[in-house]
Amino acid sequence: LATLITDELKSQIGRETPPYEFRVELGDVLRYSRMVGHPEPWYADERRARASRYGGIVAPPTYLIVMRNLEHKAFASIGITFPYPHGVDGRSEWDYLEPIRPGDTIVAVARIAEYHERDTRLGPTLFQVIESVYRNQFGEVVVRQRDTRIWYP
Amino acid sequence: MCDTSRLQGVQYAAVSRDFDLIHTDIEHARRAGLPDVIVYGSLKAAFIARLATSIAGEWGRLRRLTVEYRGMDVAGDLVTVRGVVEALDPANCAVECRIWTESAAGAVTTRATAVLTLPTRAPA
Repeated sequence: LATLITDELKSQIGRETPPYEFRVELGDVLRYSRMVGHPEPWYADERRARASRYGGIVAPPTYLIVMRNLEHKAFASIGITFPYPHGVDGRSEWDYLEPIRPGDTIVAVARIAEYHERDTRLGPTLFQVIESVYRNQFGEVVVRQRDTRIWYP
Repeated sequence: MCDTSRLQGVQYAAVSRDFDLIHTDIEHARRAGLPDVIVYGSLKAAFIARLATSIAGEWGRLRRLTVEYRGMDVAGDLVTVRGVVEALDPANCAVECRIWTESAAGAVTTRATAVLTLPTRAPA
């Protein structure tokens, strides 16, 4: 029986990217928050954010999507590329531990946690689980993420 | 309810740095068999997070968010975000909410669980 989980993919399980980093800039956060439509001043209004419990702007929960392309590059740097031509996001889990602020340098590491496969209505389907840890420049874990990406040959 | 115009897709590409053309280039989307560009899954996750943070307010915190992408929304369609409180955990001042997005046709295209902690009383 053919399997989508080739020996090459099996060998990726447990492998981790080198750390990749992203500098959080105020203007980028403000544009992101306004785009998404966050009404809270601590995400989008610098002056009113100062008077809030956060004392300034913080990034909204889904902001770290900006590091996704850096993750792809970090995996490519260790020879891990997209397993199949067609991919979609299946699921994401995030644990939010510390706020992310403009001026932070976020350092991330991602690893291939597992592969599994089953038939779906679109035929044989590969599930790729990627776990990422994001730390700030003080070494604090700010976000843990577990993504399931779905691939079709 | 959330706007999902093609222009919004282009703007979101810029702020999210995700340049997959299936979200911004109609020709590219059509070659993939789609009627039009599709709404970013991560944008729907952001709309869900927006509902969660609006419940948390200034003194609450979103602790955990799990989002499952179930189906596509096409640009221009109205996406509606809805949520219900699923469980209360008074010992930890925590609330679990079920939040989902609905397509214009009423299909659930994203479903999520958010865990929030809330302040025990309103700040003075």
